[in-house]
Amino acid sequence: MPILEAINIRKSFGKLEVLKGISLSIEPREVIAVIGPSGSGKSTFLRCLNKLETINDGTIKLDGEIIAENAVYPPEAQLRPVLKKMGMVFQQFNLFPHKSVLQNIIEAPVCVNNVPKNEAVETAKKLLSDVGLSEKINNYPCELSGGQQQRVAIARALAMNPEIMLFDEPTSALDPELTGEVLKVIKALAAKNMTMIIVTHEMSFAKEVADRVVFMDEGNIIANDTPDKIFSKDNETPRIQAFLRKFEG
Amino acid sequence: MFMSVTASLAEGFLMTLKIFGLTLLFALPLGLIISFGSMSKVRIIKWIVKAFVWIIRGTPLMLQLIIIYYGPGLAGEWAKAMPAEEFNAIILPLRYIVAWVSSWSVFDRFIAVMIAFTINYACYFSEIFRGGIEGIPKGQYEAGYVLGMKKSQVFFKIVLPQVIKRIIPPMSNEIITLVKDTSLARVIAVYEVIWSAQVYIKRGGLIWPLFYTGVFYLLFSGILTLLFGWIEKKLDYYHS
Ligand SMILES: Nc1ncnc2c1ncn2[C@@H]1O[C@H](COP(=O)(O)OP(=O)(O)OP(=O)(O)O)[C@@H](O)[C@H]1O
Ligand SMILES: [Mg+2]
Repeated sequence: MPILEAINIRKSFGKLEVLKGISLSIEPREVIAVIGPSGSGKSTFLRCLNKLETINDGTIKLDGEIIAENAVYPPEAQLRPVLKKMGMVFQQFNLFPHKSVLQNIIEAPVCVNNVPKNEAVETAKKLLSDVGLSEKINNYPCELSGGQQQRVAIARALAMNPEIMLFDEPTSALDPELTGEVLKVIKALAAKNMTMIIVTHEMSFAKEVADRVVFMDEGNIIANDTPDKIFSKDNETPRIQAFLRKFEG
Repeated sequence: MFMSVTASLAEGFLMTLKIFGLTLLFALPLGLIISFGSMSKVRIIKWIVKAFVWIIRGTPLMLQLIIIYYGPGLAGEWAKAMPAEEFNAIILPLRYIVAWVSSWSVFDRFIAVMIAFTINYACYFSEIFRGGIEGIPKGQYEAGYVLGMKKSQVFFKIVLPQVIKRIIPPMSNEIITLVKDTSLARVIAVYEVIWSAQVYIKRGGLIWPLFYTGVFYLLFSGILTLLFGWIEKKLDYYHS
C-alpha cells in the first residue's frame, strides 16, 4: 500500500495552470527523484503535498489519511497531525536565524509534539552527529556555511520523526564544493530506508540514489520510471533527451 | 529653595512618567493589532485602518488632544440643542449615543490624555510593526508550518522575535519622541512637569526651574538611549 498518494492534482495561480492533473504514489522506503525543466511545476507539486499551496482539484492521502479529497481539506486541527508526518527541506534552508542550531532542532519537538526538553536535546545531539555537526550545536545559523545550514535543516526536519521527507532542490543554493556534504547526508538517509521525494538538478545523484525518477514538463508528469530507463541513451521521449543533453555538456 | 522646587516639580515629574509609561503599555499592543489590520487580506478592513492611521499620523497630536477632550462634550451640547421634532428613527438613537458619550466625556482630563496618546502612538507603532513584519521572509513562516506549528506559534516564536530585533532602532526614536511629547498634555491642563516649572516664572520670576525640567528630559531620554543601545547589543548575537 502506498504511503503517499496524490491523485489528479490540479493547481493554478490565477489563470496559469501550473499542475495539470498529476498523479503519483510512493511506496514506503521508496526514493523518488523529480526532475524537469525550470518552471515545469516541480516545487509547486511538492508544496501542494504538504499544503504550502492549496490545490484546485485532486486528492492527497498520507498513510490512508486524507490531506485533501477532491480539493476539500479537513479542518486545520485534524490536518495538522497528518501534515507533520511530512518533513520538508527547502532550497534556501529557512533556518530560524534567532535560534541556535540546537534550538532550531528542538523547537518543534518540544512545542508541537510536547517531547520533554531533555529528551529532545538528546535526539538533537544524535541527529547532529549523524549529519556531522556535533561541534556546531551552540552556533547560530549565520555562523554556518550553506552546506552546514542545510544539514541542520535536515536534522531539524528529522527531529519530528517524519514518515516521509520532501526535498526541494536541497543543493541548488550551495556552492558546488558544498553540495557533496549535503548529498552524502541524503544518501545516508536513503540507506536507512527513509521515504523521500527529492526535486533535484543533480542528475548523477538522482541516478545513484533514486528508485524511481519522475520527469515533469509543463505541469504534467511525462515519465515515471527507473533511473536506468530514464537516463538510458535510447530513451525515446524527445523532451527528456533534450533536457538530459543539457547536463552532459 | 532647591528642595522646595524639587518637591513641587516632583508631582509634574510623576505625571510625565505616568503618561509615558501608560502610553507605552497600551499603545504597543494596540499598535500590533492595528498593524494586523493594515495588513489584512480583507480589503475594506485594510483600507479603513490605513485611512485611520493616515489621519492620526497626518494631524498634530495637540489637535487630537483637544478634539478628544472637548469634542464629545460639544457634540453632547449640540445633541441637546437639537429641536425635538427632528427626532425621527435615525436621529433619536443617535442622540442617545451622543448623549451617552458626552456624559462620560466631561471627562477626566487624564483619561483624555491617555486616549489621545495611546491612539496616536499606536498608529506610529503600527507602521513600525508593519514594516518589521513584512520584512520577515515567507520561508520563515513556511519552515514553521512544515514543522507542524500553529499560526500563532509561528507568529510568536518565529516571527515576532525577529521583528523585535528589526524594529528596535525606529522604536527607540519614536519612544524618545514620546518622552518629549508628554509635555503636550498641558494643552488640556494636565499638569506635567513643564507646567509645574512655569508656575515659578509667573509667581516669582524664577527661570531655573524650567532648566531643571530640561535636565529631567535630558536624563530621561539619555537613559532610554542607553537602554535601547543595550538591547540592540543584546540582540546582536545573530543576523539574518
Ligand atoms: N506563488 C506563485 N504565484 C504565481 N505563480 C507561481 C507561484 N509559484 C510558482 N508560480 C509559477 O508556477 C510555475 C511553476 O513553478 P515551480 O516553482 O513549481 O517550477 P519548478 O519546476 O520548481 O522550477 P525550478 O526548477 O525553476 O525551481 C512557474 O511558471 C512559476 O512562475
Ligand atoms: Mg523549484
